[in-house]
This record gives sequence, C-alpha cells and structure tokens, in this order.
Amino acid sequence: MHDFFTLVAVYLTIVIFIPLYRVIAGPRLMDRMLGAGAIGTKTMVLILLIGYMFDRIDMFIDITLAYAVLNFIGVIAIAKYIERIARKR
Amino acid sequence: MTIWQIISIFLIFAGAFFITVGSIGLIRLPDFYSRCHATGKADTLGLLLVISGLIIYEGFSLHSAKLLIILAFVGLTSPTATHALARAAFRFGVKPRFKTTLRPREKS
Amino acid sequence: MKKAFIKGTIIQFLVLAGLWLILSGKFDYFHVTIGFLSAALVTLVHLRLNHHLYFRHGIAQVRPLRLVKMVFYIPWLTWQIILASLQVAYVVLHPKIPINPSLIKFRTKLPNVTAKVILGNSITLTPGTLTIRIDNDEFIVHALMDASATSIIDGSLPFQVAKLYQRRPSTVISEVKILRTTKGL
Repeated sequence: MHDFFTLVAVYLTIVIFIPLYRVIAGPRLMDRMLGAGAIGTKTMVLILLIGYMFDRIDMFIDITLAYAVLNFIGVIAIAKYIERIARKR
Repeated sequence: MTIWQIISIFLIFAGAFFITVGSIGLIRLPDFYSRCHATGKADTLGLLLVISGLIIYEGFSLHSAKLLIILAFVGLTSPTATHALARAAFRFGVKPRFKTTLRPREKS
Repeated sequence: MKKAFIKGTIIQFLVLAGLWLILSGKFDYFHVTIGFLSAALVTLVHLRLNHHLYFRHGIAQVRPLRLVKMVFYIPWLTWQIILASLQVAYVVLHPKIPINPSLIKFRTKLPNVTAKVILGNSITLTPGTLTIRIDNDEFIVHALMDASATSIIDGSLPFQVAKLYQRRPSTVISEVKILRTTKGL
C-alpha cells in the first residue's frame, strides 16, 4: 500500500505542472489565481499522501486542514482585491 | 489485500483521473468562465474521491473523523471560492466568450 | 423569532464543541472542560453577528431548514457532482472542445439568504452551470453546454432547494432569459 501511495504522489507532482502553465501564461490576474487555487487543491492531496508514506498521518491531517483554510482564504482575499479595483474604476 | 483496500485504490485512482481532467481543462478551455467550470467541478470531485478513498482505507477511527471534516469543508468552500473569483471577474469586466464571438485560431 | 435565534445559538455551540472534541482527540476531564469553555467564548463573541443575521430582515425571512430533507438532498447532490464532472471530462478530452456558452438570467423567490447560498453552491456543482452573480433576487448563471439542457430552465434545481424549506413550494423562478451577447449587463 505504501508503494501505491508513493506512485500516486509522484503522479500528482507531475500533474501540478499543468496548472502551473496557466499560472505563468495566464493573460489576466484571475486566470493566474484560478491556476493557483487548482495547485492548492493538488497540494492538499499530496500532503495527505505524504502523511501516509511516512506513517505520521496524525500530524499531516492537521496540516492539511490548515492548508485547506489557507487556500480558501487566499482565493477569497484575491477576489476581494479584484472587486475593490473594479469598484474604483 | 482486502476488499476495502481494493475499493479505496479504485476511489483514489478515480480521484487522480478527475484531478488530471480538471488540470487539462484549465489549459484547454478558451475563456475564463469555462475554466471556472473545470476547477469548480472536476477538481472538487477529484479531491472528494481521494479523501473518501483514504477514509475507507483508514477504517473507523479518529483520523477518519478528521478526514470527514476536511471533506465537508472542501465540499462547502470549493464552489464558494470559484463563485467568488467568477463574480470578481464579472465586476472587473471580463466578458464571457460566446460561439458567435469566437474567432478561429484566436489564442486567449 | 426569538425561539429560532436561541435554537441557532445552541446549535452553533454544539457544533463548535464537537469540532473541538474531534480535532483535539483527547477525552480527559481537563481538555474537555477547556474545549467547552472556549466554544462558549466563541459563541459569546459571535452573538452580536448572529443577532444581526436573525433580526435584520424581519420575521418573514427566517424559515427553519428541514433537516430530514437534507438527508435526501446530499446524495442527490453527490450524484449531480459526478454527472457534472463526467460532462467536464467529456468536454475537455474531446478533440474539438464542443462548448456552446451562454448566460442565463433569472429571478427567484426563495425565502432567505441561506437558501440562496445553498442554491448558488448547488448551481456551481450541477452539470454545465456556474453561478456568476447574485444580486438580491437576481441570479446570473454561466452555462457551458447548450443552455436549454440545464436543470435551471425547467426549474427542477431551484425546486429541490425550495423543498428544503417548504412542504409544497410554489413556482420559485421567473423571468428566465438566455443571453448570448454581453450588451446590457
């Protein structure tokens, strides 16, 4: 089972490069933020799998929970920032 | 290898597939709102499937209760975050592209 | 009115205390006492916001959520998410990307703010649709595929959400418009 988790983790690490292209090349700030949110989603799965690989899932679950909250707050903060710019114009 | 492990392996594979689909959609779809569809649906389902696979692997314990909390949190916040970004883009003035305005060979 | 407020506060306290118990993972006397005290403290700080939420819109706005219906609603929503993701997978993996985007504009008569939140999140999670904007009663929704194939035009999705609140809801949506230009937004 450990090998399986390692395999999926390596696969997800490769998949992360696909939204990274959108973050680098995205024409607008919104596109970049969408890509960043997608990377955050994959990172959550990656943290959980790493926890299972190291047999320290008790610690890594809490990290995942904190990371989920941070990911959400980050996207909401950027959205508020864009809306404030839009209101000023 | 018990039957529960096989079920959890299947769920994690399905989750990885949907996460991949969401990522590919993020670069293939032509405009911003269509990309929101890719992350808002496929990525959410992928994450939910992987976490439920891990819950089944874990069995009945305190860790699976914590994983259940993460599941509920992600299921609530992921569509909310997508909607927040889409609304901000709409206020900002990003126009959705329709079929009539879609020119061939135009890059976004 | 007052009863709903007290009930909501008690439910909030219980949810916070349960969250503490699960997250800490220690069930001895000391930790449980501290957990309940801090849950009470957070509820106390949150009291004014709660008060505002319940008393701002007047009496007609608050209707209790029917929790029994929620048990049926969540599996239905899960099935819809799976269908939506399969549709996105079909669109993305198709070599020509067969999309036909449009905007749908409609008005709802849902009872309160929470119902609109549930409806907005459900629209985002059901096949082919994405909530873009919610002004008081007016929703603007982006449809990825053919707009007439979505469940908003025939009103079945808003009907499901309204059933969480009322036993026999009347028609919940009106003035459905399909836009294919961005003029007049």
